[in-house]
Amino acid sequence: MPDTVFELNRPDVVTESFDGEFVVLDLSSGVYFAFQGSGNAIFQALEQGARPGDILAALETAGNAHRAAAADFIDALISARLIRPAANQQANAAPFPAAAVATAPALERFDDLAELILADPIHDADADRGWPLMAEAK
Amino acid sequence: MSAAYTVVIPAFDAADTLGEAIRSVLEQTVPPDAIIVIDDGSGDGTGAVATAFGPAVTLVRQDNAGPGAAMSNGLARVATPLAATLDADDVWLPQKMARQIRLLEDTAADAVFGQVRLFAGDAADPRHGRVMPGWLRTAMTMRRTLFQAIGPVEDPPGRRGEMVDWIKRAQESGATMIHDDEVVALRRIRAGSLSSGRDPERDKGYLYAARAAILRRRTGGTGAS
Repeated sequence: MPDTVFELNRPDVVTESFDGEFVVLDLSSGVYFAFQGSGNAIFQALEQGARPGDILAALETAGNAHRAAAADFIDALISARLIRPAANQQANAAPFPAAAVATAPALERFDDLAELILADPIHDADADRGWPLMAEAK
Repeated sequence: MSAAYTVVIPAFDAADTLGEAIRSVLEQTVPPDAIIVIDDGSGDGTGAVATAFGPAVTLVRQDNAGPGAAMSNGLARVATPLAATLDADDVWLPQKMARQIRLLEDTAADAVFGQVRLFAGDAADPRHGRVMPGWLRTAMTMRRTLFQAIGPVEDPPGRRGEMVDWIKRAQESGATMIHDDEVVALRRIRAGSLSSGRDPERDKGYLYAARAAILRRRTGGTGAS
């Protein structure tokens, strides 16, 4: 999907940047992710509307050694369903700074909080679900 | 082991539900030595609900600081060997403490948790929902020494995820924390409550818990999955 603009897979997926390092959490699974190397720069560009094809083309033009790793990284973000095709397909016209990819990007996946996070919030489905259906659980 | 325990109930604008929560403590088959309600700067009649129970309940007021800060304020005042915590909108089932005290005696664990059943409406006539794991304040009984070892419960921005962070810190410290299959409490569903539904601002609290876990991992050396 090189010509697709992506967006964060809200509301299940939430993210926050801490000192330039993103943490991305999938609330539906309790699994969270961090990025190594230039993953933060690539994720930020995607979140701001850069198309994968434009990012990879910028790396290609610059002769960047991490182009293949960047392609794998973007595929991994899509496979993990952290990002999805955006409703608004207006791409960000700002050129991707290939120099930001000085190291290979990588996705780190952690499930050590999953059990705790899944237990914590009450899900919308529980509030919305028909009570007669739930009464049989009594 | 002494079964003496203190119950800590952090409460914020909980006048509608706190009475049911306290009654569920007083109806335990093994009664508490003390009940401490921390009024976290409520603007409703939360404090009056607590004081209406007379000497059975100790009321402590603090400026609004969050559920973790209120819980920590209460736990720091516990003088019994065991401490249990309860959200002001939830209720315990009558055998909860008897079962968890016995589990602590039998297993030498530092803390025990049980399952919770979701409910709506009055606790006296609830509409029941599903049963879910109770890695939650409402379903926890611990040795007082565990809180002393792990330290305060910290409220992240969004005021969600403080128990995720604290339980994880306790687990990483080597504490033995067990989760029992028995349903020990009812967890109230209220639209718009602090813990209900997806909310991007509140859910940020979990991201802070995750970030803290990442930073500890970098310095401590546990690996990714």
